Amino acid sequence: MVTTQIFNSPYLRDPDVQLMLRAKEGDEGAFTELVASYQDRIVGIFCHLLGNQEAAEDLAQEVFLRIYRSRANYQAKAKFSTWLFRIANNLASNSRRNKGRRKEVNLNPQDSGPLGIRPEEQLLVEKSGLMPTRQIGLKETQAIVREALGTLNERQQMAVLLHKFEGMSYADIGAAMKLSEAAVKSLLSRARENLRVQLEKHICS
Amino acid sequence: MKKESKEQELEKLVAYLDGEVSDQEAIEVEQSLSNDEKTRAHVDGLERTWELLDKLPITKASDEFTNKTLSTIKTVQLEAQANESQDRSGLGLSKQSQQQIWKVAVAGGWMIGLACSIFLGYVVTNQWLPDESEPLLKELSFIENLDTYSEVQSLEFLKDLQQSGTFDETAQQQK
Repeated sequence: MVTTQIFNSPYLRDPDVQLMLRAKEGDEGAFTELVASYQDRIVGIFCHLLGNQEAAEDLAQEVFLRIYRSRANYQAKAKFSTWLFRIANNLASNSRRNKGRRKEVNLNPQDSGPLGIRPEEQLLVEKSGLMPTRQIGLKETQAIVREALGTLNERQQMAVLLHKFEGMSYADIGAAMKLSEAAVKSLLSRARENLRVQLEKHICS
Repeated sequence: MKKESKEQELEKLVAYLDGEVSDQEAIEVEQSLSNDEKTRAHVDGLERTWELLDKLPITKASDEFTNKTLSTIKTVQLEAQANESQDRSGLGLSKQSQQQIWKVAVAGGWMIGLACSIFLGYVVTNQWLPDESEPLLKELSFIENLDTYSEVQSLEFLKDLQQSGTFDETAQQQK
């Protein structure tokens, strides 16, 4: 019965699900393809959440490692991306919890925004001699947006990032974060309202 | 009650912007937008602040990320295979079992050592220590005739008798 349900699963049309099923059968190339196509997205999300590329890559590596370890028991019960972002969400929550326990010292948000300055930005600032006004303006805007994003709680941040940068529907976000669609709707509306309150004055200016 | 309806209104507006409302709800929001300037400004603010998130830099994985990840996975895979083969060969016993086997092996070693010591002791004792029965065997003929010799009482007399040739004559006569 279960086998028939999985065999008729609508998710089998997802090309990434097909790649994962091939990886399950021992096709290493298929797994490499999955890593290559999702690595930037996962690292990007973690980077927004943690504000540190190295930590983001470590966590992203852990996501792929978990997927690889559980490949033998993989079943196409959801879109591959939903499954992957569910693992990512769990790892991000655990990481934040552990970080909280260790009471790590964060950089002063005033210096570079709540997520800290990144190497690319540093490079951008260094090169800003060419277009000083424009680059300084961009840097300031990024710092303001980061600070606003940092005021959201953990779940609101994740929901915003998945919706904004991954274009995920409420249903998919709910599946990835183990929430009902109604809960996602409420979470995102509050998050967007918070962002509006934080950022609106900067739009007007 | 008022707060709840405000929240519901906000949810509906945001869901409308996200394309997550039913046709009926979409019509309701659009009517509200055309009639109410305040709602229009609110939605405009929500949209514009949402667009500001596009200003955030998009970080990509480093060039070596794929190789690093795949080699980590390879290492994990090799470790798992090694553990599996260890389990198959029976060496992958639990720590408790390994300790028990070690104790039994040590006890066995002691037993074998003790047995060897006993055997060696026996051999050494037999080889180098004098056997008390050996001189008795050597002097058996003397012991057997000890009563006769005791009757003679004097060894000097026997020697004189031998030198006199009396025994030789007696032997010749017997022949």
